[in-house]
Amino acid sequence: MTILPGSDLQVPSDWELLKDSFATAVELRPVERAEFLRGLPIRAAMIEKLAILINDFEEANSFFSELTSEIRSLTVEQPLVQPGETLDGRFRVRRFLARGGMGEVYEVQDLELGGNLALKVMAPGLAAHPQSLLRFREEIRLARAVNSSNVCRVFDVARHVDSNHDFLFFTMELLEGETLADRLFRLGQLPLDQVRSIARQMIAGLAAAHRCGILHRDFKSSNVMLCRDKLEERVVLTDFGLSRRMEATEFEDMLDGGTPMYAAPEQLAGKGETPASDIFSVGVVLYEMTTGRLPAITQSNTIGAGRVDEQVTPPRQFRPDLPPSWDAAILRCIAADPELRYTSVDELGRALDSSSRPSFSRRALWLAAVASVVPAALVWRGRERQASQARANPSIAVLPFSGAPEVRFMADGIVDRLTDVLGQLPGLRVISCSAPERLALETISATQAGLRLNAAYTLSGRVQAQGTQLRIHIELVKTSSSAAAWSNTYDIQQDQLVSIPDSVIRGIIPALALDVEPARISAVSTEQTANQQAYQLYLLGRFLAAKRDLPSLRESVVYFQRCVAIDPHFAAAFAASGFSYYQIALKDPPTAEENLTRARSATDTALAIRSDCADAYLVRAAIRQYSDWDWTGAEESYKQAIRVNPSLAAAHHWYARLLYPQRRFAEALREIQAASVLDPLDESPRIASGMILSYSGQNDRAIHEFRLLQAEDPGNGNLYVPLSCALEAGGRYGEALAAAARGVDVTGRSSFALSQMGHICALTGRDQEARSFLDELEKQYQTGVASASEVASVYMGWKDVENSFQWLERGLKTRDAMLTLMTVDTQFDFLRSDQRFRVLLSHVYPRGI
Amino acid sequence: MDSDVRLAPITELLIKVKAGDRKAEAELAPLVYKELRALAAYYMRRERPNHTLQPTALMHEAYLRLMGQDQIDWTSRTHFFAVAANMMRRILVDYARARRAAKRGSGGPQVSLTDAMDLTLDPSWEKIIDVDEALLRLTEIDERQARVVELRFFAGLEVDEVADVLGISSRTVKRDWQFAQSWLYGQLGAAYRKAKPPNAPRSGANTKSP
Repeated sequence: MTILPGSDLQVPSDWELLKDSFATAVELRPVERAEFLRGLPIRAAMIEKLAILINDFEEANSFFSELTSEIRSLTVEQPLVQPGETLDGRFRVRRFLARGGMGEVYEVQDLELGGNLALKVMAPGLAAHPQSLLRFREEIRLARAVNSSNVCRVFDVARHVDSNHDFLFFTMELLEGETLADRLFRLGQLPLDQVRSIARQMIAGLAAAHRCGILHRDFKSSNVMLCRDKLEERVVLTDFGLSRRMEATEFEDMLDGGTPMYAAPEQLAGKGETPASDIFSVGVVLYEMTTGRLPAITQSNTIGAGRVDEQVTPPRQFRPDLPPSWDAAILRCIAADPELRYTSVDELGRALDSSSRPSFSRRALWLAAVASVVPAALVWRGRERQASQARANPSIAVLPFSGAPEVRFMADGIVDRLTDVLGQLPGLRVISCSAPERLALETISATQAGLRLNAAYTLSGRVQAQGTQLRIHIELVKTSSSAAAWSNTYDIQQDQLVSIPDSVIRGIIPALALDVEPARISAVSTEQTANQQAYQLYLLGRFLAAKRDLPSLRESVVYFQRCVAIDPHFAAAFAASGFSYYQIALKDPPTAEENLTRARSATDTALAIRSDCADAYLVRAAIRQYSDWDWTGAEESYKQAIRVNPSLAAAHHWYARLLYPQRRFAEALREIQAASVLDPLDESPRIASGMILSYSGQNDRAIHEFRLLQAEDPGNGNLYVPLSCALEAGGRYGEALAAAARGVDVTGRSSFALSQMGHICALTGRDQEARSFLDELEKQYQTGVASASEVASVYMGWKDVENSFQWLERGLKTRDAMLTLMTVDTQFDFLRSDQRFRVLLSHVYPRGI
Repeated sequence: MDSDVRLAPITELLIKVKAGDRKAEAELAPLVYKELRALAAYYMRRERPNHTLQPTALMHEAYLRLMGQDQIDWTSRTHFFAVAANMMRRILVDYARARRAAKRGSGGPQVSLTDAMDLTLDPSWEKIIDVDEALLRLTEIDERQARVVELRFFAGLEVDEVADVLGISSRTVKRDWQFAQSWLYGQLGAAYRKAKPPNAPRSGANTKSP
């Protein structure tokens, strides 16, 4: 017999007595109850308790019926904000979309930039932490680096405070469709064709994020959106890296039916997240898609207890038509030991890809590509191809070396040289980080940078100086393990700097397991001058040129000149000066002609001394393309530049600019994607790919890309004119006008923005404004800042055939770059039937296209 | 064919449960839990804010989904509910706990004014957690009565349905339910009392004991 703690009742007899008496008493009227209680043959203490129970009954009954109805209406929670409310003075709520993850999602209108976005309100309470906003900002800054149509764009995080609310929210791309979780819920399991398409895109999205050093941390089927799109269903991953930052994850887990099911064992054990833990979660989602169930849970009573991977039933047992290689791949993803899983998402992608038979849709894509119609999905396909081709070779990124300001030029110079030299080694892919973007890498670890740049290895270093004595520490780190694969410290005199690249290359080649002939190593790594002074001047020149602004570029050529005065056989110095001259010509149109001449002669000299100067080929190609309109010669030179240094991002980017005016869109996109992979932090390839999409007739997609870029970096001056052109080509004149106006502002009234602005004004009947822009442009033309074809563009807005041709013909004399776009730009359309147009075209493209 | 592969084990387990196999019941529980949770999550994510999470409806739907379309066996259903009610209780309580944690944010002195307001506006979560805790104590004293509460309150079954599931008379269910309500209410403490009972006992300190 048990005595209950705090109770003077004996169980069960007293208890049964109490129950029976209660049942009788509760049926009686109040007056009868007192009598009944008095007559009970039980102890006084019991009677007291019984009295309380009976007395409580009505209240208890109403308490439980109220609570029951409350439970039944658990979801009748009003959304936090109502349609029509404006959040943070900028986002007007259009409608409530869903309640999920860490908060509520609304469709909102952006009153500042226009367009509709999704807005996610985060759990209240977060707003109270001053650190939250900063931390989210940082997350979002990182997340923005992810450039993939399979990853939901996140724009900004902000706080909304009014008399009723105080919460944080973030804005993101508006997606229409259903989550994978909901589809699986509806259909159980999915047809294999659908599984393939979803898997492929899911993996592409995740790979793009990992490349940027961003982990999902909470990958699951409810974070995969399936969106209706024209060509094929677009799969978009949401809540990247953010969800785990939310403190209300327990709540979210509840809503999502038990997220721990998707988490890797090491994650559940609190040992932190790695790319491998994301791969585990992908494996679970693949399992779920193919079998309609999650990998078996243990049979213990503990709900959601850890899985033991040896006991997981192979998905093929539930899905006999699943290819065996998929079966194996899924099981490998969900191995309990992270070491046994795939080492990267790309590797998983290849494993799945190689085993899926080419489906009809894939072949259709390639046919479409051959037909020069660039399908929407080709952007992705190209990226994947690039990634898998490139993955065959080990990749390495040379990170900025740290050092005090006075040794900065040496540190940067060594980095540039190492990047050059490594790029020429066969079998190695070298990721560069163009100088202005390098800053972003200086505050993060080598491993993070490696992930962000999608490089298997990183080379980083530190330069310290004491008088003329230098200490340089250089380290090769393997991204997947964060382990140093090679390192060395050089204590040298400043004049021994020239020996560093050769020594580093010889040191790391074994660590990278590269098979390179010794002769080849010497050929690329031995510096081209033995003169210490010349070498230091050269490093200084490169340091300045990398800053890319006009004064620095001008100063850099002074150093290169001194270099070659000391050592007239220093080919790299000639090539570098050619590159600087070319940049000056682009940035300062009035001096373009003389500087192009200098660039031409410097590159010719460089290539006469040595035939392996990639920079020199690149400048030669650009001059042939834009100054000589020698398209065949230019193409040959671009290819030579790429042959010498396949990792030279600029060569791929510039080559794309030769391809798309010739309507070779698919090739152009491939080159642009190569440039993106090799220089992931540079945004200019994204603008170029938008232009290619627009010129190939995919305006909506182009506009979408541009808008995303705009949301990320509204101050980007190179963005608005292409955006305006795409909007114009799509017949969206109002927006085109707004974009051009913004371009004029952002670029400080540059000629190319003024030209588009005047053009749009003329096109839409704003004659007076168009005329004033025309005046401004003509003045710029007088001083050599604006080109003749930029002036012509305004007349083309008026469809003024005579003046258009007059100015275009002037442009022919100065070889305006804009003329090369006659083949693809729709603003020329009304001139195409004119004989004079054909004459113009035959000048620009002497061999046709 | 696919759905056969997916659903067969459930049917088998239910047959064993019907035959009184406790091990089968333990195996069935996580499956039911998962299904119920998925259903609850599915409905809570919906755009229709007026869709309610009715425990009984959820259990029916979970049953239909787990059994497939052509194997509805209404006697199995009773056994299914016996298992599902307990799972439904867990779901509600877990949800309430998570909800409370979310509302409190990281808790402590940094809870903002709006949080505090939310908590006072939305007390049913606290009630559910407290009822669950009181019910644990009731289980120790009277397991059957606790089962009645589980089925009646957490699973939302009618008196006759509860009687069916437990294999007892409707009258007993009704009596158990009445008594349990009063008893549990007495366990909840002063916070939930609307007013002091008219003939309150002399010592007000014993509201925590039966």
